[in-house]
Amino acid sequence: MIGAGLALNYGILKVLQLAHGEYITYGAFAAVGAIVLFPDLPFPIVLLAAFLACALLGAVAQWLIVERAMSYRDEVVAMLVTFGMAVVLRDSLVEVVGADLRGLSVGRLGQANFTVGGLTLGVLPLLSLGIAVASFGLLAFLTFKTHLGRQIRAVSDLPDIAALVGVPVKRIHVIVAALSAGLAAIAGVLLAMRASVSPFSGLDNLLIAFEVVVLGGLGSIRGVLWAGLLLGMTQVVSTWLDSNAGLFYVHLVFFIVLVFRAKTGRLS
Amino acid sequence: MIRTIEIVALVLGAIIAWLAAAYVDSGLQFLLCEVFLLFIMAQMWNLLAGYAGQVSFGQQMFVGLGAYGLCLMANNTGIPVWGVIVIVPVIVGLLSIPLGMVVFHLKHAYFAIGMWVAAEVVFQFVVKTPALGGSGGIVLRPGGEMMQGFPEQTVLPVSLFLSMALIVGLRVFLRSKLGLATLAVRDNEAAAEAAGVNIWRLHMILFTLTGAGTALAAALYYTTTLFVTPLDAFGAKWVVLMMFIVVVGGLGTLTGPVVGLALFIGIRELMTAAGYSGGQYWIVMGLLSTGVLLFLPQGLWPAFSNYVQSLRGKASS
Repeated sequence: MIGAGLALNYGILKVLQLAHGEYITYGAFAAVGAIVLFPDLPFPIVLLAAFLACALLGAVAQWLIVERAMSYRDEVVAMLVTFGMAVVLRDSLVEVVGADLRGLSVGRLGQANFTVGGLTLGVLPLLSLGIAVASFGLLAFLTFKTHLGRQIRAVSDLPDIAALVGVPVKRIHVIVAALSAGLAAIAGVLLAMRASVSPFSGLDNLLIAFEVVVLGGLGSIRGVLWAGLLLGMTQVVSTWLDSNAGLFYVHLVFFIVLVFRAKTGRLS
Repeated sequence: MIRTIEIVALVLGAIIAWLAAAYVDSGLQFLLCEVFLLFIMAQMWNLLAGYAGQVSFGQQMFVGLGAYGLCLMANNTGIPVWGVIVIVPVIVGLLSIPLGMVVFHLKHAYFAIGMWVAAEVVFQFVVKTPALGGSGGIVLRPGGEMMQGFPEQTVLPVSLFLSMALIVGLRVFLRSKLGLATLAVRDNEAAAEAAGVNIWRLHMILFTLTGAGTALAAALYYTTTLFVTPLDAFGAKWVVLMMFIVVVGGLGTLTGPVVGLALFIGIRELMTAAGYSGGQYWIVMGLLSTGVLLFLPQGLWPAFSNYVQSLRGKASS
Protein backbone atom coordinates (compact mmCIF):
# COMPACT_ATOMS: atom_id res chain seq x y z
CA MET A 1 0.00 0.00 0.00
CA ILE A 2 2.83 2.35 0.87
CA GLY A 3 4.40 1.58 -2.47
CA ALA A 4 1.38 1.85 -4.74
CA GLY A 5 1.43 5.62 -5.12
CA LEU A 6 5.17 5.68 -5.69
CA ALA A 7 4.92 2.95 -8.31
CA LEU A 8 2.33 5.00 -10.16
CA ASN A 9 4.45 8.12 -9.94
CA TYR A 10 7.72 6.53 -11.04
CA GLY A 11 6.11 4.36 -13.68
CA ILE A 12 4.45 7.25 -15.43
CA LEU A 13 6.35 10.41 -14.61
CA LYS A 14 9.76 8.67 -14.55
CA VAL A 15 10.68 10.85 -11.59
CA LEU A 16 11.84 9.38 -8.33
CA GLN A 17 9.49 11.22 -5.97
CA LEU A 18 11.52 11.55 -2.79
CA ALA A 19 8.78 13.54 -1.07
CA HIS A 20 6.53 10.50 -1.14
CA GLY A 21 7.36 9.53 2.43
CA GLU A 22 6.30 13.00 3.52
CA TYR A 23 2.98 12.62 1.72
CA ILE A 24 2.40 9.48 3.78
CA THR A 25 3.11 11.40 6.97
CA TYR A 26 0.94 14.31 5.88
CA GLY A 27 -1.92 11.92 5.13
CA ALA A 28 -1.71 10.49 8.62
CA PHE A 29 -1.56 13.92 10.20
CA ALA A 30 -4.42 15.21 8.09
CA ALA A 31 -6.55 12.37 9.46
CA VAL A 32 -5.40 13.06 13.03
CA GLY A 33 -6.17 16.74 12.57
CA ALA A 34 -9.59 16.05 11.08
CA ILE A 35 -10.52 13.86 14.03
CA VAL A 36 -9.27 16.40 16.55
CA LEU A 37 -11.37 19.12 14.93
CA PHE A 38 -14.51 17.05 14.36
CA PRO A 39 -14.49 14.07 16.76
CA ASP A 40 -17.71 12.64 15.37
CA LEU A 41 -16.67 12.44 11.76
CA PRO A 42 -17.29 8.97 10.28
CA PHE A 43 -14.16 7.13 9.25
CA PRO A 44 -14.75 7.03 5.47
CA ILE A 45 -15.04 10.83 5.43
CA VAL A 46 -11.75 11.15 7.32
CA LEU A 47 -10.07 8.85 4.83
CA LEU A 48 -11.52 10.84 1.95
CA ALA A 49 -10.41 14.12 3.52
CA ALA A 50 -6.84 12.88 3.93
CA PHE A 51 -6.87 11.61 0.34
CA LEU A 52 -8.11 14.92 -1.04
CA ALA A 53 -5.76 17.05 1.05
CA CYS A 54 -2.68 15.13 -0.07
CA ALA A 55 -3.88 14.87 -3.65
CA LEU A 56 -4.16 18.65 -3.71
CA LEU A 57 -0.68 18.99 -2.20
CA GLY A 58 0.77 16.54 -4.71
CA ALA A 59 -0.94 18.26 -7.63
CA VAL A 60 0.26 21.72 -6.63
CA ALA A 61 3.80 20.47 -6.06
CA GLN A 62 3.83 18.77 -9.44
CA TRP A 63 2.32 21.76 -11.22
CA LEU A 64 4.55 24.42 -9.68
CA ILE A 65 7.83 22.64 -9.01
CA VAL A 66 8.40 19.14 -10.32
CA GLU A 67 7.09 19.84 -13.82
CA ARG A 68 9.67 22.54 -14.23
CA ALA A 69 12.46 20.38 -12.86
CA MET A 70 11.46 17.57 -15.23
CA SER A 71 12.13 19.74 -18.24
CA TYR A 72 15.88 19.55 -17.58
CA ARG A 73 17.58 16.71 -19.37
CA ASP A 74 19.23 15.37 -16.25
CA GLU A 75 16.89 13.19 -14.21
CA VAL A 76 19.03 13.81 -11.14
CA VAL A 77 17.76 17.41 -11.02
CA ALA A 78 14.14 16.33 -10.60
CA MET A 79 15.13 13.76 -8.00
CA LEU A 80 17.06 16.30 -5.94
CA VAL A 81 14.28 18.87 -6.23
CA THR A 82 11.79 16.44 -4.74
CA PHE A 83 14.29 15.81 -1.98
CA GLY A 84 14.47 19.51 -1.19
CA MET A 85 10.67 19.52 -1.10
CA ALA A 86 10.71 16.57 1.29
CA VAL A 87 12.97 18.41 3.72
CA VAL A 88 10.80 21.54 3.58
CA LEU A 89 7.60 19.54 4.09
CA ARG A 90 9.00 17.57 7.01
CA ASP A 91 10.39 20.48 8.95
CA SER A 92 7.32 22.63 8.31
CA LEU A 93 5.24 19.87 9.84
CA VAL A 94 7.56 19.65 12.84
CA GLU A 95 7.30 23.42 13.30
CA VAL A 96 3.51 23.34 13.19
CA VAL A 97 2.55 20.25 15.17
CA GLY A 98 5.70 19.55 17.18
CA ALA A 99 7.83 16.42 17.16
CA ASP A 100 5.46 14.23 19.18
CA LEU A 101 4.17 10.85 18.15
CA ARG A 102 0.50 10.80 17.21
CA GLY A 103 -1.87 7.91 16.89
CA LEU A 104 -5.32 7.58 15.38
CA SER A 105 -7.69 6.33 18.00
CA VAL A 106 -9.93 3.71 16.48
CA GLY A 107 -11.82 2.89 19.67
CA ARG A 108 -13.02 -0.66 20.14
CA LEU A 109 -12.14 -1.50 16.55
CA GLY A 110 -8.47 -1.93 17.53
CA GLN A 111 -9.16 -4.91 19.76
CA ALA A 112 -12.17 -6.29 17.92
CA ASN A 113 -11.70 -9.69 16.39
CA PHE A 114 -13.67 -12.76 15.36
CA THR A 115 -12.92 -16.42 14.93
CA VAL A 116 -13.31 -18.35 11.72
CA GLY A 117 -12.54 -22.09 11.74
CA GLY A 118 -10.11 -21.82 14.66
CA LEU A 119 -8.25 -18.76 13.31
CA THR A 120 -8.66 -15.53 15.22
CA LEU A 121 -8.62 -12.53 12.93
CA GLY A 122 -8.49 -8.90 14.02
CA VAL A 123 -10.99 -6.60 12.36
CA LEU A 124 -8.47 -3.79 11.95
CA PRO A 125 -5.87 -5.66 9.85
CA LEU A 126 -8.70 -7.06 7.74
CA LEU A 127 -10.13 -3.58 7.27
CA SER A 128 -6.68 -2.32 6.22
CA LEU A 129 -6.29 -5.18 3.79
CA GLY A 130 -9.77 -4.50 2.46
CA ILE A 131 -9.04 -0.82 1.89
CA ALA A 132 -5.72 -1.67 0.25
CA VAL A 133 -7.28 -4.23 -2.11
CA ALA A 134 -10.14 -1.86 -2.92
CA SER A 135 -7.69 0.95 -3.78
CA PHE A 136 -5.69 -1.41 -5.98
CA GLY A 137 -8.87 -2.50 -7.70
CA LEU A 138 -9.97 1.07 -8.33
CA LEU A 139 -6.53 2.00 -9.59
CA ALA A 140 -6.46 -0.95 -11.98
CA PHE A 141 -9.95 -0.09 -13.23
CA LEU A 142 -8.92 3.52 -13.72
CA THR A 143 -5.75 2.70 -15.68
CA PHE A 144 -7.12 -0.08 -17.86
CA LYS A 145 -10.79 0.64 -18.42
CA THR A 146 -11.24 4.39 -18.68
CA HIS A 147 -10.36 7.06 -21.21
CA LEU A 148 -8.19 8.80 -18.62
CA GLY A 149 -6.36 5.52 -17.98
CA ARG A 150 -5.66 5.13 -21.68
CA GLN A 151 -4.20 8.62 -21.76
CA ILE A 152 -2.09 7.89 -18.68
CA ARG A 153 -0.69 4.74 -20.24
CA ALA A 154 0.02 6.57 -23.47
CA VAL A 155 1.96 9.29 -21.64
CA SER A 156 3.88 6.62 -19.77
CA ASP A 157 4.87 4.69 -22.91
CA LEU A 158 5.61 7.40 -25.45
CA PRO A 159 5.15 10.90 -24.07
CA ASP A 160 6.13 12.64 -27.33
CA ILE A 161 3.68 10.69 -29.47
CA ALA A 162 0.97 11.07 -26.86
CA ALA A 163 1.44 14.83 -26.98
CA LEU A 164 1.31 14.72 -30.80
CA VAL A 165 -2.06 13.01 -30.84
CA GLY A 166 -3.48 15.56 -28.47
CA VAL A 167 -3.11 14.15 -24.98
CA PRO A 168 -2.70 17.01 -22.48
CA VAL A 169 0.58 15.61 -21.10
CA LYS A 170 1.04 18.21 -18.38
CA ARG A 171 -2.48 17.75 -17.10
CA ILE A 172 -1.98 13.99 -17.02
CA HIS A 173 1.23 14.48 -15.05
CA VAL A 174 -0.59 16.60 -12.48
CA ILE A 175 -3.42 14.08 -12.22
CA VAL A 176 -0.98 11.22 -11.73
CA ALA A 177 0.94 13.16 -9.08
CA ALA A 178 -2.33 13.92 -7.27
CA LEU A 179 -3.45 10.29 -7.40
CA SER A 180 -0.10 9.08 -6.15
CA ALA A 181 -0.03 11.55 -3.26
CA GLY A 182 -3.62 10.62 -2.42
CA LEU A 183 -2.72 6.93 -2.28
CA ALA A 184 0.17 7.84 -0.01
CA ALA A 185 -2.30 9.60 2.28
CA ILE A 186 -4.49 6.50 2.52
CA ALA A 187 -1.40 4.45 3.37
CA GLY A 188 -0.54 7.02 6.00
CA VAL A 189 -3.99 6.83 7.62
CA LEU A 190 -3.82 3.03 7.72
CA LEU A 191 -0.35 3.21 9.30
CA ALA A 192 -1.53 5.71 11.89
CA MET A 193 -4.39 3.39 12.86
CA ARG A 194 -2.02 0.51 13.53
CA ALA A 195 0.80 2.37 15.22
CA SER A 196 1.63 5.96 15.97
CA VAL A 197 3.26 8.29 13.45
CA SER A 198 5.85 10.96 13.99
CA PRO A 199 6.72 13.83 11.64
CA PHE A 200 10.11 12.15 11.20
CA SER A 201 8.78 8.84 9.86
CA GLY A 202 8.80 10.09 6.27
CA LEU A 203 12.27 8.86 5.33
CA ASP A 204 11.73 5.38 6.75
CA ASN A 205 8.42 5.06 4.94
CA LEU A 206 10.01 6.35 1.75
CA LEU A 207 12.67 3.65 1.91
CA ILE A 208 10.05 0.92 2.41
CA ALA A 209 8.06 2.37 -0.46
CA PHE A 210 11.14 2.25 -2.68
CA GLU A 211 11.81 -1.33 -1.78
CA VAL A 212 8.27 -2.37 -2.56
CA VAL A 213 8.31 -0.54 -5.88
CA VAL A 214 11.69 -1.80 -7.01
CA LEU A 215 10.91 -5.39 -6.01
CA GLY A 216 7.54 -5.27 -7.69
CA GLY A 217 9.01 -4.00 -10.92
CA LEU A 218 8.81 -0.33 -11.74
CA GLY A 219 5.38 0.82 -12.74
CA SER A 220 3.76 -2.57 -12.27
CA ILE A 221 0.90 -2.29 -9.84
CA ARG A 222 0.24 -5.99 -9.39
CA GLY A 223 3.95 -6.62 -8.76
CA VAL A 224 3.83 -4.01 -6.02
CA LEU A 225 1.12 -5.96 -4.22
CA TRP A 226 3.27 -9.14 -4.23
CA ALA A 227 6.41 -7.27 -3.18
CA GLY A 228 4.50 -5.65 -0.31
CA LEU A 229 3.35 -9.08 0.82
CA LEU A 230 6.91 -10.51 0.62
CA LEU A 231 8.45 -7.71 2.66
CA GLY A 232 5.55 -7.72 5.11
CA MET A 233 5.92 -11.47 5.65
CA THR A 234 9.68 -11.08 6.12
CA GLN A 235 9.00 -8.50 8.80
CA VAL A 236 6.49 -10.73 10.62
CA VAL A 237 8.60 -13.89 10.45
CA SER A 238 11.86 -12.21 11.45
CA THR A 239 10.23 -10.44 14.41
CA TRP A 240 8.87 -13.80 15.49
CA LEU A 241 12.30 -15.47 15.30
CA ASP A 242 14.39 -12.59 16.64
CA SER A 243 12.61 -10.13 18.89
CA ASN A 244 14.85 -7.11 18.23
CA ALA A 245 15.11 -7.69 14.49
CA GLY A 246 13.79 -4.25 13.58
CA LEU A 247 13.93 -3.73 9.85
CA PHE A 248 17.32 -5.43 9.49
CA TYR A 249 16.07 -8.56 7.71
CA VAL A 250 13.59 -6.64 5.57
CA HIS A 251 16.36 -4.47 4.18
CA LEU A 252 18.66 -7.44 3.84
CA VAL A 253 16.10 -9.49 1.91
CA PHE A 254 15.45 -6.57 -0.38
CA PHE A 255 19.14 -5.96 -0.98
CA ILE A 256 19.81 -9.60 -1.81
CA VAL A 257 16.86 -9.87 -4.18
CA LEU A 258 17.79 -6.62 -5.86
CA VAL A 259 21.39 -7.61 -6.49
CA PHE A 260 20.39 -11.10 -7.57
CA ARG A 261 17.95 -9.68 -10.09
CA ALA A 262 20.50 -7.16 -11.36
CA LYS A 263 23.08 -9.91 -11.74
CA THR A 264 20.79 -12.15 -13.75
CA GLY A 265 19.91 -9.15 -15.89
CA ARG A 266 16.23 -9.15 -15.08
CA LEU A 267 16.17 -5.51 -14.07
CA SER A 268 14.50 -3.22 -16.52
CA MET B 1 52.72 17.07 -13.16
CA ILE B 2 52.20 19.29 -10.13
CA ARG B 3 52.40 23.00 -10.91
CA THR B 4 54.26 25.63 -8.93
CA ILE B 5 51.10 27.44 -7.88
CA GLU B 6 49.75 24.22 -6.44
CA ILE B 7 52.92 23.64 -4.41
CA VAL B 8 52.61 27.21 -3.15
CA ALA B 9 49.00 26.49 -2.19
CA LEU B 10 50.07 23.39 -0.26
CA VAL B 11 52.78 25.27 1.62
CA LEU B 12 50.37 28.11 2.38
CA GLY B 13 47.82 25.55 3.60
CA ALA B 14 50.40 24.06 5.96
CA ILE B 15 51.33 27.48 7.34
CA ILE B 16 47.70 28.51 7.84
CA ALA B 17 47.00 25.15 9.48
CA TRP B 18 49.88 25.67 11.89
CA LEU B 19 48.76 29.22 12.69
CA ALA B 20 45.14 28.08 13.17
CA ALA B 21 46.21 25.43 15.67
CA ALA B 22 48.16 27.96 17.69
CA TYR B 23 45.99 31.08 17.63
CA VAL B 24 42.31 30.21 17.05
CA ASP B 25 40.20 29.85 20.21
CA SER B 26 38.62 26.55 21.14
CA GLY B 27 34.98 27.23 20.21
CA LEU B 28 35.92 28.46 16.76
CA GLN B 29 38.23 25.47 16.36
CA PHE B 30 35.26 23.10 16.77
CA LEU B 31 33.27 24.98 14.16
CA LEU B 32 36.20 25.05 11.73
CA CYS B 33 36.86 21.35 12.25
CA GLU B 34 33.28 20.65 11.25
CA VAL B 35 33.52 22.98 8.25
CA PHE B 36 36.66 21.39 6.84
CA LEU B 37 35.55 17.83 7.51
CA LEU B 38 32.17 18.51 5.90
CA PHE B 39 34.05 19.97 2.98
CA ILE B 40 36.05 16.78 2.57
CA MET B 41 32.90 14.64 2.74
CA ALA B 42 31.04 16.88 0.29
CA GLN B 43 33.96 16.83 -2.10
CA MET B 44 34.00 13.02 -1.86
CA TRP B 45 30.30 12.86 -2.75
CA ASN B 46 30.99 15.33 -5.55
CA LEU B 47 33.77 13.12 -6.91
CA LEU B 48 31.43 10.13 -6.93
CA ALA B 49 28.28 11.86 -8.17
CA GLY B 50 29.62 14.75 -10.22
CA TYR B 51 32.63 13.11 -11.82
CA ALA B 52 31.92 9.38 -11.74
CA GLY B 53 28.19 9.93 -12.34
CA GLN B 54 27.15 7.66 -9.47
CA VAL B 55 24.62 9.44 -7.27
CA SER B 56 24.56 7.63 -3.94
CA PHE B 57 22.15 8.07 -1.04
CA GLY B 58 24.24 5.79 1.16
CA GLN B 59 27.42 7.71 1.91
CA GLN B 60 26.44 7.89 5.58
CA MET B 61 27.49 4.24 5.67
CA PHE B 62 31.12 5.31 5.30
CA VAL B 63 30.65 7.99 7.97
CA GLY B 64 29.30 5.34 10.33
CA LEU B 65 32.00 2.83 9.44
CA GLY B 66 34.70 5.45 9.97
CA ALA B 67 33.25 6.45 13.33
CA TYR B 68 32.80 2.89 14.56
CA GLY B 69 36.16 1.78 13.16
CA LEU B 70 37.79 4.59 15.13
CA CYS B 71 36.08 3.81 18.43
CA LEU B 72 36.37 0.03 18.23
CA MET B 73 40.01 -0.04 17.23
CA ALA B 74 41.12 2.71 19.59
CA ASN B 75 39.22 1.20 22.54
CA ASN B 76 40.28 -2.40 22.05
CA THR B 77 43.88 -2.15 20.92
CA GLY B 78 46.94 -0.28 22.09
CA ILE B 79 47.29 1.66 18.83
CA PRO B 80 47.30 5.41 19.54
CA VAL B 81 44.27 7.35 18.24
CA TRP B 82 46.19 9.13 15.49
CA GLY B 83 47.46 5.80 14.20
CA VAL B 84 43.92 4.46 14.20
CA ILE B 85 42.73 7.44 12.16
CA VAL B 86 45.25 6.49 9.48
CA ILE B 87 44.36 2.78 9.52
CA VAL B 88 40.55 3.09 9.53
CA PRO B 89 40.19 4.65 6.04
CA VAL B 90 42.38 1.90 4.63
CA ILE B 91 40.13 -0.76 6.16
CA VAL B 92 36.95 0.99 5.03
CA GLY B 93 38.44 1.38 1.56
CA LEU B 94 39.17 -2.34 1.43
CA LEU B 95 35.66 -3.13 2.70
CA SER B 96 34.13 -0.98 -0.02
CA ILE B 97 35.69 -3.16 -2.75
CA PRO B 98 33.39 -6.18 -2.19
CA LEU B 99 30.48 -3.77 -1.64
CA GLY B 100 31.28 -2.11 -4.95
CA MET B 101 31.42 -5.48 -6.69
CA VAL B 102 27.86 -6.04 -5.52
CA VAL B 103 26.27 -2.60 -5.97
CA PHE B 104 27.89 -1.89 -9.34
CA HIS B 105 25.35 -4.28 -10.82
CA LEU B 106 22.82 -1.55 -10.11
CA LYS B 107 22.48 1.48 -12.35
CA HIS B 108 21.38 5.08 -11.77
CA ALA B 109 18.38 5.30 -9.43
CA TYR B 110 18.79 1.67 -8.45
CA PHE B 111 22.36 2.36 -7.40
CA ALA B 112 21.32 5.34 -5.28
CA ILE B 113 18.64 3.33 -3.50
CA GLY B 114 20.77 0.19 -3.26
CA MET B 115 23.46 2.18 -1.46
CA TRP B 116 20.87 3.68 0.86
CA VAL B 117 19.51 0.25 1.72
CA ALA B 118 23.05 -1.09 2.23
CA ALA B 119 23.71 1.78 4.67
CA GLU B 120 20.43 0.99 6.42
CA VAL B 121 21.38 -2.71 6.71
CA VAL B 122 24.68 -1.81 8.39
CA PHE B 123 22.86 0.69 10.65
CA GLN B 124 20.26 -1.85 11.76
CA PHE B 125 23.01 -4.42 12.33
CA VAL B 126 24.92 -2.04 14.61
CA VAL B 127 21.73 -1.16 16.52
CA LYS B 128 20.85 -4.78 17.21
CA THR B 129 24.40 -5.91 18.13
CA PRO B 130 25.09 -5.29 21.85
CA ALA B 131 28.85 -5.75 21.34
CA LEU B 132 28.82 -2.63 19.16
CA GLY B 133 27.02 -0.65 21.85
CA GLY B 134 23.53 -1.18 20.41
CA SER B 135 21.41 1.90 19.93
CA GLY B 136 23.18 3.67 22.80
CA GLY B 137 26.48 3.95 20.94
CA ILE B 138 30.00 3.88 22.35
CA VAL B 139 32.37 6.35 23.98
CA LEU B 140 35.84 6.86 22.57
CA ARG B 141 38.27 5.55 25.23
CA PRO B 142 41.67 4.97 23.63
CA GLY B 143 43.20 1.92 25.30
CA GLY B 144 40.47 1.99 27.95
CA GLU B 145 41.41 5.48 29.20
CA MET B 146 39.48 8.70 28.77
CA MET B 147 40.74 10.83 25.91
CA GLN B 148 43.36 13.32 27.11
CA GLY B 149 44.09 16.83 25.93
CA PHE B 150 42.28 18.84 23.27
CA PRO B 151 41.77 16.75 20.13
CA GLU B 152 40.41 19.70 18.16
CA GLN B 153 43.81 21.39 18.37
CA THR B 154 45.22 18.58 16.26
CA VAL B 155 42.15 17.82 14.15
CA LEU B 156 41.79 21.40 12.95
CA PRO B 157 45.22 21.77 11.30
CA VAL B 158 45.00 18.22 9.94
CA SER B 159 41.57 18.77 8.38
CA LEU B 160 42.48 22.22 7.11
CA PHE B 161 45.60 20.92 5.45
CA LEU B 162 43.75 17.87 4.09
CA SER B 163 41.09 20.11 2.51
CA MET B 164 43.77 22.13 0.79
CA ALA B 165 45.62 18.98 -0.25
CA LEU B 166 42.37 17.51 -1.53
CA ILE B 167 41.73 20.42 -3.90
CA VAL B 168 45.31 20.26 -5.19
CA GLY B 169 45.14 16.47 -5.38
CA LEU B 170 41.88 16.54 -7.34
CA ARG B 171 43.28 19.11 -9.78
CA VAL B 172 46.33 16.95 -10.37
CA PHE B 173 44.13 13.86 -10.61
CA LEU B 174 41.86 15.41 -13.22
CA ARG B 175 44.91 16.17 -15.41
CA SER B 176 46.20 12.61 -15.09
CA LYS B 177 45.32 9.82 -17.49
CA LEU B 178 42.82 8.37 -15.04
CA GLY B 179 41.24 11.78 -14.47
CA LEU B 180 40.83 12.38 -18.17
CA ALA B 181 39.25 8.96 -18.46
CA THR B 182 36.84 9.92 -15.65
CA LEU B 183 35.78 13.07 -17.46
CA ALA B 184 35.37 11.13 -20.69
CA VAL B 185 33.11 8.59 -18.97
CA ARG B 186 31.05 11.36 -17.43
CA ASP B 187 30.52 13.07 -20.75
CA ASN B 188 29.83 10.00 -22.83
CA GLU B 189 30.02 6.57 -21.31
CA ALA B 190 29.65 4.57 -24.51
CA ALA B 191 32.28 6.60 -26.40
CA ALA B 192 34.73 6.37 -23.51
CA GLU B 193 34.33 2.61 -23.35
CA ALA B 194 34.85 2.35 -27.09
CA ALA B 195 38.05 4.37 -26.70
CA GLY B 196 39.37 1.77 -24.30
CA VAL B 197 38.44 3.01 -20.83
CA ASN B 198 37.71 0.22 -18.36
CA ILE B 199 34.64 1.81 -16.78
CA TRP B 200 34.13 -0.78 -14.09
CA ARG B 201 37.71 -0.48 -12.86
CA LEU B 202 37.53 3.32 -12.95
CA HIS B 203 34.30 3.39 -10.95
CA MET B 204 35.77 0.94 -8.46
CA ILE B 205 38.84 3.11 -7.90
CA LEU B 206 36.71 6.23 -7.34
CA PHE B 207 34.22 4.35 -5.16
CA THR B 208 37.00 3.00 -2.94
CA LEU B 209 38.73 6.37 -2.71
CA THR B 210 35.55 8.25 -1.81
CA GLY B 211 34.62 5.60 0.75
CA ALA B 212 38.04 5.84 2.38
CA GLY B 213 38.04 9.65 2.24
CA THR B 214 34.60 9.88 3.84
CA ALA B 215 35.67 7.46 6.56
CA LEU B 216 38.82 9.49 7.23
CA ALA B 217 36.80 12.68 7.64
CA ALA B 218 34.34 10.83 9.88
CA ALA B 219 37.11 9.37 12.05
CA LEU B 220 38.56 12.86 12.50
CA TYR B 221 35.13 14.30 13.29
CA TYR B 222 34.31 11.72 15.94
CA THR B 223 37.70 12.24 17.55
CA THR B 224 36.49 15.71 18.50
CA THR B 225 33.01 14.61 19.65
CA LEU B 226 34.41 11.70 21.73
CA PHE B 227 31.34 9.46 21.41
CA VAL B 228 29.32 7.92 18.63
CA THR B 229 25.70 6.74 18.38
CA PRO B 230 24.38 4.77 15.42
CA LEU B 231 21.52 7.21 14.82
CA ASP B 232 23.99 10.07 14.52
CA ALA B 233 26.79 8.33 12.60
CA PHE B 234 24.54 6.47 10.16
CA GLY B 235 22.03 9.32 9.94
CA ALA B 236 20.75 10.38 6.54
CA LYS B 237 21.65 13.95 7.56
CA TRP B 238 25.22 13.32 6.40
CA VAL B 239 24.33 12.47 2.86
CA VAL B 240 21.69 15.23 2.83
CA LEU B 241 24.34 17.76 3.82
CA MET B 242 26.81 16.47 1.23
CA MET B 243 24.16 16.57 -1.47
CA PHE B 244 22.88 20.04 -0.65
CA ILE B 245 26.35 21.54 -0.40
CA VAL B 246 27.47 20.06 -3.69
CA VAL B 247 24.27 20.61 -5.64
CA VAL B 248 23.74 24.21 -4.57
CA GLY B 249 27.38 25.06 -5.19
CA GLY B 250 27.71 23.20 -8.46
CA LEU B 251 27.86 19.46 -9.11
CA GLY B 252 30.99 18.29 -10.90
CA THR B 253 33.06 21.41 -10.20
CA LEU B 254 35.86 21.75 -7.67
CA THR B 255 34.93 25.27 -6.56
CA GLY B 256 31.17 24.63 -6.27
CA PRO B 257 31.27 22.77 -2.95
CA VAL B 258 33.31 25.62 -1.42
CA VAL B 259 30.54 28.05 -2.35
CA GLY B 260 27.82 25.65 -1.16
CA LEU B 261 29.56 25.00 2.14
CA ALA B 262 30.17 28.70 2.84
CA LEU B 263 26.50 29.37 2.18
CA PHE B 264 25.24 26.54 4.37
CA ILE B 265 27.48 27.16 7.36
CA GLY B 266 27.05 30.92 7.02
CA ILE B 267 23.26 30.72 7.01
CA ARG B 268 23.28 28.23 9.87
CA GLU B 269 25.47 30.38 12.09
CA LEU B 270 23.47 33.52 11.26
CA MET B 271 20.14 31.83 11.92
CA THR B 272 21.35 30.24 15.15
CA ALA B 273 22.68 33.59 16.31
CA ALA B 274 19.34 35.20 15.46
CA GLY B 275 17.52 32.57 17.53
CA TYR B 276 15.85 30.45 14.85
CA SER B 277 15.36 26.73 15.46
CA GLY B 278 17.07 23.87 13.65
CA GLY B 279 13.82 23.01 11.92
CA GLN B 280 13.47 26.51 10.51
CA TYR B 281 17.06 26.32 9.29
CA TRP B 282 16.27 23.14 7.35
CA ILE B 283 13.18 24.72 5.82
CA VAL B 284 15.34 27.56 4.51
CA MET B 285 17.92 25.06 3.25
CA GLY B 286 15.28 23.00 1.48
CA LEU B 287 13.77 26.08 -0.15
CA LEU B 288 17.20 27.34 -1.15
CA SER B 289 18.27 24.10 -2.79
CA THR B 290 14.92 23.63 -4.51
CA GLY B 291 15.07 27.18 -5.82
CA VAL B 292 18.66 26.87 -7.04
CA LEU B 293 17.87 23.59 -8.78
CA LEU B 294 14.82 25.02 -10.48
CA PHE B 295 16.40 28.18 -11.78
CA LEU B 296 20.13 27.33 -12.04
CA PRO B 297 20.23 23.54 -12.28
CA GLN B 298 24.02 23.43 -12.68
CA GLY B 299 24.49 25.16 -9.33
CA LEU B 300 25.58 28.63 -8.25
CA TRP B 301 29.26 28.52 -9.14
CA PRO B 302 28.97 27.42 -12.80
CA ALA B 303 26.17 29.95 -13.31
CA PHE B 304 28.32 32.68 -11.80
CA SER B 305 31.44 31.85 -13.81
CA ASN B 306 29.38 31.63 -17.02
CA TYR B 307 27.97 35.05 -16.25
CA VAL B 308 31.43 36.52 -15.67
CA GLN B 309 32.65 34.98 -18.92
CA SER B 310 29.75 36.41 -20.87
CA LEU B 311 30.55 39.84 -19.41
CA ARG B 312 34.16 39.48 -20.51
CA GLY B 313 33.04 38.40 -23.95
CA LYS B 314 30.95 41.57 -24.26
CA ALA B 315 33.79 43.77 -23.02
CA SER B 316 36.30 42.41 -25.54
CA SER B 317 34.00 42.52 -28.54
